[in-house]
Amino acid sequence: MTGSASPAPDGNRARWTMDKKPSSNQPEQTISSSRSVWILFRKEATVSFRSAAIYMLVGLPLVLSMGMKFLIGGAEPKPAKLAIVGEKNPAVARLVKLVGKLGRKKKPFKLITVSSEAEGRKRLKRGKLHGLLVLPHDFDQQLAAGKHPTATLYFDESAGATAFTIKTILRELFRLQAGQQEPATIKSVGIRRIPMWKAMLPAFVVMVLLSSITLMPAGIATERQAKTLQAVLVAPVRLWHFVSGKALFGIATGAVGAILVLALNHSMQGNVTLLVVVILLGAAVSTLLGLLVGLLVESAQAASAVASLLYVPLIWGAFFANLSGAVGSVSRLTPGYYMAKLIKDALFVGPHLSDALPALTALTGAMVLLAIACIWALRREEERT
Amino acid sequence: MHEPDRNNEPAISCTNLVRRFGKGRHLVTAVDHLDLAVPKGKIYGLLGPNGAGKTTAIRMLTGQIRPTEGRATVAGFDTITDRHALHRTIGVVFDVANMYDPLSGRQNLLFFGSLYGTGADRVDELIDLVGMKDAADRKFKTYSKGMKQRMVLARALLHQPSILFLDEPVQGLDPASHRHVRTIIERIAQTGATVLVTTHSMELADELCHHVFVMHQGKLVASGSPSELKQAHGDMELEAVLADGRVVTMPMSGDESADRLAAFVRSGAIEELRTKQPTLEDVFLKLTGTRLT
Repeated sequence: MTGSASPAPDGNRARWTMDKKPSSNQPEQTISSSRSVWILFRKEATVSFRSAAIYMLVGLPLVLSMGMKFLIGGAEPKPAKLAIVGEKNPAVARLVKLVGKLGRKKKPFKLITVSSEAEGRKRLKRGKLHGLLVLPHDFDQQLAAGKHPTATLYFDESAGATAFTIKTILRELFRLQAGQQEPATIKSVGIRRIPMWKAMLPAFVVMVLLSSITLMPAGIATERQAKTLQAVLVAPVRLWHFVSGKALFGIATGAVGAILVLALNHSMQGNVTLLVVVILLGAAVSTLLGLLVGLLVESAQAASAVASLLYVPLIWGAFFANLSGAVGSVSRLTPGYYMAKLIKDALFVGPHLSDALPALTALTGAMVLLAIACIWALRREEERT
Repeated sequence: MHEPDRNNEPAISCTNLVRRFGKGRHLVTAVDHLDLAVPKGKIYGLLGPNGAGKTTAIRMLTGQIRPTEGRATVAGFDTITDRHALHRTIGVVFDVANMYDPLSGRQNLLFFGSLYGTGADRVDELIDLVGMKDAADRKFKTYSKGMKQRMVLARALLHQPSILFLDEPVQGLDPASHRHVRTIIERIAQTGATVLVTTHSMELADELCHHVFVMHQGKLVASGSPSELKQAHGDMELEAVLADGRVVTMPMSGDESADRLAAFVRSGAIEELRTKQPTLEDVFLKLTGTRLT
């Protein structure tokens, strides 16, 4: 059947105010898209900063990074375990003696002897040693003859800094031993020594950047559950305004948090331009991934579960990429790895743009793919509502 | 863009509006070929039990969801193609008090007001109107259900909408809040705005609405003013209070009632005789065979 009712006497568009009298000059209620996004961003910030979650997500890595500085600020990596072949070789015996004489603080490695090169390599492969030094049996004779003997250092590639330290110390020891400026050939790569707390900063920065993965989905799903999303969408606001406002907030939170971690640890150094670009890219990738989850998942509980599932392997990239095996391989595939690598390079190596290009490209690619996926999810959501 | 001629169009109009959810065995038709023509002004009620399709109908009419079939225009705007313009014209009160808990009532109104381009003066005006002046700066989550409902009502009025959709606006409210909200709705209607209220409360529909559309299982089953509906579909009844205290109810028409009444009169058993008006509940029962609540 058709439901119809007789018209009311006043059939025109209603205006009403406190005195109940219709007004005839209603202002034009049009606001621009950018203004809508800005209003929604501002709301997002106001609401989010009233929740403890954001302080936890951004504050925890900050506190950890600061705490790490005080807890292990002066700490050095554990002494490496270096094996040397040929106890009977006089040069080896002298070297062992020299290392034994080094003060406890100066001793960067523990030197042990192994009976053969084969045994040493076997132990090295099993991760029982950090390095294996093999001197030629006629090391002393070569030195005496004025030749330039070559010492071979096998080292665990997953601990590059340790190998560098060993090489540096060995070179000093050879000098002491032979009384010559450069008695033997040891290839060395010039990298800087980085305190452990500082070496961990990129991982903490990545933790802050990835916090948006947890913030974003719960935010959208909660709005959907509490029906505040509906309330916003019956205002003259489009879904993409709403999502952009949230995204802007996620990027701003991640970027400001990351810069705070670096600034409060006096580490805004190296290639600062690259650092800022990486932080913004990282915050964008993390935010877009969070948005995607938020748009695809129905409830706040499901959003938190999915976000946590994503957060853990992504953070692996920052912490475990140097590990061997599956964990390391998977870690090196995650955006977290590229973020941490770029931040590390920007802070400590100061690379040229060309050096950073592969990782930058990977991160940008991830951002573009996620943006496309978000647009798809947004269209899907709009179709549903 | 072509501006629709809103003077000659009904406030709300829909033809063959259908909305289905799910697929295959789980397919549910929430709204089944609904046709409505609502003129401007006054208060209209969409009456029906839970699950009748009222909220789905409102969601389609306010452009929140797309109809599976059919089309609807509200204030002359197509609910699918002119959704953005439509939202500048209508106000919506949802079946839940959906505002931001961590913000105060005033901050909530300022936020939503800014989306319409309205300022703080309008917010103050509405806070006054809904009687929330003293509590406006408290966090929304600390409000009672009645206070929350008044605030969401204020939000729906921020941009002076010409058509207002209210989804179960007094559900779960205590009698005082119920009265307060009802008074506000009446004041809004007095300004010439069109108000469409969905409710499963026959009392509210009876007291508040000038015209009622009755829905059942997604379909429109009756339409008219409450008195028209009662007249057309409800039966007047006679209640005879007998000397022994019994109350006997009988239809006010038919030979059987006339004979029973005559017998009571002859025996002198009647203490009091009164007529009983049908309610919208009775109308609904008669139309659908089921109760509203």
